[in-house]
Amino acid sequence: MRYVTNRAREDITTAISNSPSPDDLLELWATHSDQMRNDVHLGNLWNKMGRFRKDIHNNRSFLHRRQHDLKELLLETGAACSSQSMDARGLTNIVHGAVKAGLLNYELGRDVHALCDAAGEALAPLVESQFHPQACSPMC
Amino acid sequence: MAANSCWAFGAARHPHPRLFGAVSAALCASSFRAESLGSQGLANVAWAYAKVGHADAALFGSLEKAAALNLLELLQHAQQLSNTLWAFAALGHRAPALFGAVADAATAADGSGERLLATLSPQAVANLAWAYSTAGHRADALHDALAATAVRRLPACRAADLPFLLSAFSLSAHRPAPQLFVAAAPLVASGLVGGRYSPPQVASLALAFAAADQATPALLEALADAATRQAGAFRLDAFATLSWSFAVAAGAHPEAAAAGAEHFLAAARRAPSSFVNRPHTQFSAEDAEDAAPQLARLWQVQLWLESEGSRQLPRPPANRGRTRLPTFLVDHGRDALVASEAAAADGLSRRDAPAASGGSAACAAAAEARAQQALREGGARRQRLSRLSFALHMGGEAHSSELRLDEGYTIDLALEARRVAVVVAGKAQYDQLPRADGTYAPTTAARLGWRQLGALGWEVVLVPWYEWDALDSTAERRAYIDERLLRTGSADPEQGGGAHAGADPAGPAEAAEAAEAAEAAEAAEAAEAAEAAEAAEHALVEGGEAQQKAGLETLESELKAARARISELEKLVAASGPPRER
Repeated sequence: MRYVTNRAREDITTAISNSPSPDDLLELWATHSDQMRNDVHLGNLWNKMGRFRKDIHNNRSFLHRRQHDLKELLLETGAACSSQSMDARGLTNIVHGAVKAGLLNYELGRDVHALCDAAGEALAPLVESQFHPQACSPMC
Repeated sequence: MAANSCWAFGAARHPHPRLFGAVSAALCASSFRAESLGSQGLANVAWAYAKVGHADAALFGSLEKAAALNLLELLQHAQQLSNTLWAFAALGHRAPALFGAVADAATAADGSGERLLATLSPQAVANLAWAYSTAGHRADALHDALAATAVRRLPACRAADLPFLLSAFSLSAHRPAPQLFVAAAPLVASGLVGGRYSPPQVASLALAFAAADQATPALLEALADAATRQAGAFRLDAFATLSWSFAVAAGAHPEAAAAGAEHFLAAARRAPSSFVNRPHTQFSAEDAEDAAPQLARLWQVQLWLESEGSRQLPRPPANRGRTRLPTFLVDHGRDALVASEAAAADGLSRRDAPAASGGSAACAAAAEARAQQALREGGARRQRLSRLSFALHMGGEAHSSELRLDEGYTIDLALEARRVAVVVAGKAQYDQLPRADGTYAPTTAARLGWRQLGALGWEVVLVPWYEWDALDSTAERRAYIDERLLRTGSADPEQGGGAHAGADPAGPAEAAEAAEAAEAAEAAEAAEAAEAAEAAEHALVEGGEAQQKAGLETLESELKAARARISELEKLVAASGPPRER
């Protein structure tokens, strides 16, 4: 992973937040994927993708056009979940966003399930060893 | 955060036993304040566990406490409320206090109940109706209020809301809501004509109307037309459910149901993409095992079409002898029905049980609890059969136990000479809750099975568990079955008489072969004692006055001994199974 300055991190976070469409999110990933393979950016990206659920659902051509890119994003997110230490919030945002985006019903369903497996395997030990219910309960 | 994680895995229907186990442990920890979950977190966690079928009694005990602490907040959020109760019911976690509190709140007379009901979406109404029926929690006032709310909401319902809404109300056989089905029928018909329903939704609607006994010929025709237009898109589950629904509806509307089924099945066989046209070699034994309930239903459809259905719609000579369904489905279907009948004989429910994923100790415990329940029901069933067989022997009725028919059905006690099928109907064959008059409504599957036995030429005499278990002595049991058998010949098996449609007096020869083999040694011994008792009783009655005076003491002594023997045998019978359910 490339060294990323705090400023660059913030810029990417802002760019994710300001993305007006799922196409823009994928473009952002295509351009900056090296700097985005971490829990904060992947969590933000998937969270934002989840918010585009209606756009994705109403625009079938998006899924058709970008199926390859979405598949790659799902696979690389799964690989990042397995290989890096991510915090529970980031992992939760990733799974929540990927499911909420409504990709399960299409040909990407299998890839979403693979991502769930990878994120679940990373999340379970965190819950087992670090989950402090009282500390986390306000976030529930 | 835990709630969000769970929600995501639940929405993906992605069981992850390790993660769910870890979340359970965290939420059950003594340091955790359950109320801090909030109504949203509570609903998300409960819903997710139910969606992935992860039963965890400890967690749900904890969630129940959280729900009690968050009840006021929960009552203000209709979707969270309905999702929570739905989840408790789906996982079979009984929470009578919670269900009772919600029912009381929703029917409160101070206006708050009406305000709560007014916030319910059609989906929330359906969830609540389904939850109370599935959990077996009696709340008649709430049920009526939900049905009335559903009727009021119909104009605002989306087409996609109706299948689950109507399915939910079709489950409450103890308290039917015909007004909802009558009001919904035109909307459903319009949606069917407009092509707004997918194959699973068409099947679900057909089953809801058929199960609630509310299908009309016009609706059956609309269902068949809608299904025919997309026949090639039906997968096995929807295909079996729709065809089976026609078979069920044929009880009330034989011609319309037979015509609808023929129409649909013919279209499915013509559609190249239909699964019924796949090469039979692609349907493996594993496929058949996985799809056993659907295949058993298809076999029942086949039986219906070849017996009752063929009387409504005689087939052209060229098609006679050909099955309406592909042979590979029919063959697997018969085996599946045989297996289902055998499972029912062991006490396993024919009702769909909530699935639980494996992996955690909690899941194993839930599975064990269900197995124990099945065992208890199996024991109770064997005890009922044994006592009924004994009562029949005492009444001099020759019969066979558990007679398996070629058609796949098993008759509990068959009086073959009279073609009478005595059916010991257990809890699995009835709704969980009694009707207002104390009787129980039979399940849709049970009704169809009894009707089909009638169509096969057997007169069905029902012995419902709730009547049989209330009988305390041999004399009462004997009087009961004698009276039921005397009533044979009436049309309604539920009224004690038999269904006897299309009886073939000759009957299958194979029935006799199975008779003696099925006799239980216990029953035979009991019969011997009963004969001794009867001989003594006859001797008392038939003997002359002189003989009575001379041998009265001897005969009375014999009678006393025989009765004591009967009593001993009854104790043995009782001891051989688990305690009675009531």
